[in-house]
Amino acid sequence: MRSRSIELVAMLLCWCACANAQATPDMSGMWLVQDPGSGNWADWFNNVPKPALRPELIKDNDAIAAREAAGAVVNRAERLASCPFGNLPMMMASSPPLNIVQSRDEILIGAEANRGRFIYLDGRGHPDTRSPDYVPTGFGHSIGRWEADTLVVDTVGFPARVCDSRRPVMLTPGGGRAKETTHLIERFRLIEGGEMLSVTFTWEDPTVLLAPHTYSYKYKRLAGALPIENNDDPSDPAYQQRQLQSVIPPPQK
Amino acid sequence: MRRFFDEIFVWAKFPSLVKEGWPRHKENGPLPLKAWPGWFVQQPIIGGLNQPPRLGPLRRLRGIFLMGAATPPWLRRGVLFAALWLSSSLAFGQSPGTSHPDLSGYWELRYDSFNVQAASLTPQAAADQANQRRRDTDAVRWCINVGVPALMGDRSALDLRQSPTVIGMVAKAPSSVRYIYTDGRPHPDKDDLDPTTNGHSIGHWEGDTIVVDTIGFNDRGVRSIPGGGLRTPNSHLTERYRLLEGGQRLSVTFTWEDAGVFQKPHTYEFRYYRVRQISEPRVFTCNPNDAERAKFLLDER
Repeated sequence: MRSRSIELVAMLLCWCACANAQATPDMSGMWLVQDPGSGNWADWFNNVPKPALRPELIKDNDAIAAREAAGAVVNRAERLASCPFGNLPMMMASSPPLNIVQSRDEILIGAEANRGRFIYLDGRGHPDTRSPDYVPTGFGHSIGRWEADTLVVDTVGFPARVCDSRRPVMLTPGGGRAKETTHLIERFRLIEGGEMLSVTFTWEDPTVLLAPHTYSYKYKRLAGALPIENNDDPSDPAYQQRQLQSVIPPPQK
Repeated sequence: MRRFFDEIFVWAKFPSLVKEGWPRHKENGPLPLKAWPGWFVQQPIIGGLNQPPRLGPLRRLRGIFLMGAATPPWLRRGVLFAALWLSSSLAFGQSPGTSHPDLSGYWELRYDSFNVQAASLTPQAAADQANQRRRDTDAVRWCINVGVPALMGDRSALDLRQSPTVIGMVAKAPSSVRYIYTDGRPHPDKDDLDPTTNGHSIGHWEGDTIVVDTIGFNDRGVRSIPGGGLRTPNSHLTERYRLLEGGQRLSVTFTWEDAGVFQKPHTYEFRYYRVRQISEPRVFTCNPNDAERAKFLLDER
């Protein structure tokens, strides 16, 4: 009699455990990154614990800063069809809200209405990112898995170079780089009753960093928000002119 | 309610019934019944010796789970745990958090969807067809987001992702992500609605079909509608999505209404084929400054 009861309780616990294991948190919705008030993009982007950069990277960053101080603040690189699309570190830090659609096998993260990242949860591995068949994008190739209520995302396959005359490689917060040798681990978790999303980033790349670089962002849920569509019109001469205009106003004389 | 629990826990009250069943049956010779396998338990106890079992549904279920007394306990427990695992998997294996069909997947249009019946156009819309084709080519040439309906007719596979509250769709052609809200929200007020190439879409389930209502289009992108006519800021689109053939096909029926374009609602169906996983980036990197491409497109028209 007693053993039967124990068996019954064990079965119920098993059922509940199965149910919980499959009922992962739903992160779908629009999420706005919470900037504590950095004042400008560069300060916000670098408002993270300082990474342990390799000495050559520090020199390279100093050279970029010197070029920008000398006026090289406009991207004059030709926009070729071969230019890698997207920029993961910038998208995850930018003000257009993340727009997440979470299905069982794949998570789509757009920036407002713009297309963005795909995180595969269907058990596939990374492709051979050194193969000529692999087309790198600025979002890399991401696969994810659930660890209890946390989504752990593993990303590799960033492009070696990007089409930017100011800095031809993708910058990560704090002055690091995302490139073909870089490995990113993100941990997504809903907090504060599902009203906030916490994402912890850990960048690893022995050619860039002396130690893994970790920082976190918080995103606030925007209930009922409408994504805004990018209405850029490249046929508009005013748009073309804006592409060659610095976002830093010239000094007043 | 008490009877229900008595039924469930009868084995706990009278475990000796289960224990004694199989040996007593063996003593009285083999059963003449073909229909009930030996492990179907308590036949000698409940139905009487050599009688067909007359078991209620719950007792039959219990019988299957507990099996005979001769069945090793590890096998009985194994079957029980497997059944529970399976039941919980099925219960939670639907579209996450819902009991609706999960339309998520990669969906490809093939030639069998491209012969759309001609729409009944207003004279004004019929006269504007050639101009509209030119405007569409310009949109492609300048890499403008194509929008609906071109997004739904993309020749590369659509990536459709369904959550309990929203469906997202990504096409390879230059386009915004299309979102269909299924959380019960209405369309925004006209004053709050910023028109887009995809419009504002809300959906609700009618059985196994999701019915999607879209308004709020703008006049940008590739606006030609299969069968004739064009999408305008006054267009109203109703779509019905349904899985067919065991989930291997997705039927989408489109109905366009726009008094300035159509004399009567224009309806057609696309059938998408489910394709296996795609790893390549679903993006066509469009370069509006590519002179060769521009020349090719403009010469074509």
